[in-house]
Amino acid sequence: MSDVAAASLSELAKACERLPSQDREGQIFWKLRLRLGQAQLKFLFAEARLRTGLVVGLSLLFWIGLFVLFHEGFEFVVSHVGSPGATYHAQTIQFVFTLFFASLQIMLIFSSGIILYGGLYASRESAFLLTLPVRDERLVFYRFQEALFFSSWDSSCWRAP
Amino acid sequence: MIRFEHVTRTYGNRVAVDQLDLDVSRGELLALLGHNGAGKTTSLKMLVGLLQAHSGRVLVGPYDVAENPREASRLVGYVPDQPYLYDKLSGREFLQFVADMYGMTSVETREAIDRECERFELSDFLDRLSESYSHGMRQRTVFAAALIHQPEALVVDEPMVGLDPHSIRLVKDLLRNYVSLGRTVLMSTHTLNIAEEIADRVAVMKQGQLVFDGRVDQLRSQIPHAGESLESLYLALTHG
Repeated sequence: MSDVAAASLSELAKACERLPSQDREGQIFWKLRLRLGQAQLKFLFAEARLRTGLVVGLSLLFWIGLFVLFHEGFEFVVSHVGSPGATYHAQTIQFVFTLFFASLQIMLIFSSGIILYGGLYASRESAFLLTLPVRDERLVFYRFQEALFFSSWDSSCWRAP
Repeated sequence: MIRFEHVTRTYGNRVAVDQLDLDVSRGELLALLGHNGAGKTTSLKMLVGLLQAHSGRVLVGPYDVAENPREASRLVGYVPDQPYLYDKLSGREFLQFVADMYGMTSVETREAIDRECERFELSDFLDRLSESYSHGMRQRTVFAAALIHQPEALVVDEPMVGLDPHSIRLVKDLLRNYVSLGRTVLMSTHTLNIAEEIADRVAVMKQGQLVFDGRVDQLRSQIPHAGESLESLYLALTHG
């Protein structure tokens, strides 16, 4: 190999050594997310106040409705099955809770999977990120975090009441 | 600098790129021509890591794109036919993100942004959210992002589409200046007169295969009856 070629290779290798570490890559993506989130919130409060107000208001109404529904459900169990301490009260509540949270978990898994698939394979952002020196696992993790966030906000609404 | 070695890529039963062998050296601007569906964009996507070759290999410098994707990415700047920007980021924030991904320090990033801002005349809109940009502004910002880390090779897919004459001139001058610095440019385009004006070599693809690779004057000697312009030569080559 000629001296010129060796020098070029050495320069190329130096340029590649400066690529971000795993941790630094994670920090860059969090910074991106923070910036996007701040810009989105700023936009919502400045340009879409009615829509934001409606979404928040209706979500609150939905939350209160769910709370009332669950409250009535527990009242039903107490009046028809037994109050706390009665023979079948604990078993019934345990069964209901298990079924309820298992259903939510299955919904969470399916919706995360669907959102993740769309985010990885049908996303222009992913195509753009693939052209940057991003580690493949970082891209999948970034998309997974996003999928988990979007699919869990609604189940949090269900769990909270 | 860029090398395709017996590269093949299929989509189901359709062969999109068939045993492509193509070299682009340092200090050279190669224009990749061909009809829609000829395999140009597929070839570029294999080069920048968006697709994997089913056989053969694609090299950028000493790095195999499939085996060392990050290293190969570091050496390449890519401008796609449809520029992608984050709507809720300003152009400056977008360039900062890209610079961070290439491992640039904050001082280097600042200097690079100033440099590209001047080169592409971005200062009027760089601090506005990119959702307000016109196509030309988006294209110029994406060009700036592709050059922010001063890559060894610039890969551009249909760079002139939707640009006004001033921006077209800017891009043509940029591409020629870039190769004059010893760098490499691989450009896919349908704009034959621009390819003829600025390319050192042209490569013509037809149905996934490379049917010509050389200078325009060589193509003229090969098809003497076709006429002088690259357009007539290209049409004779691809329809003949």
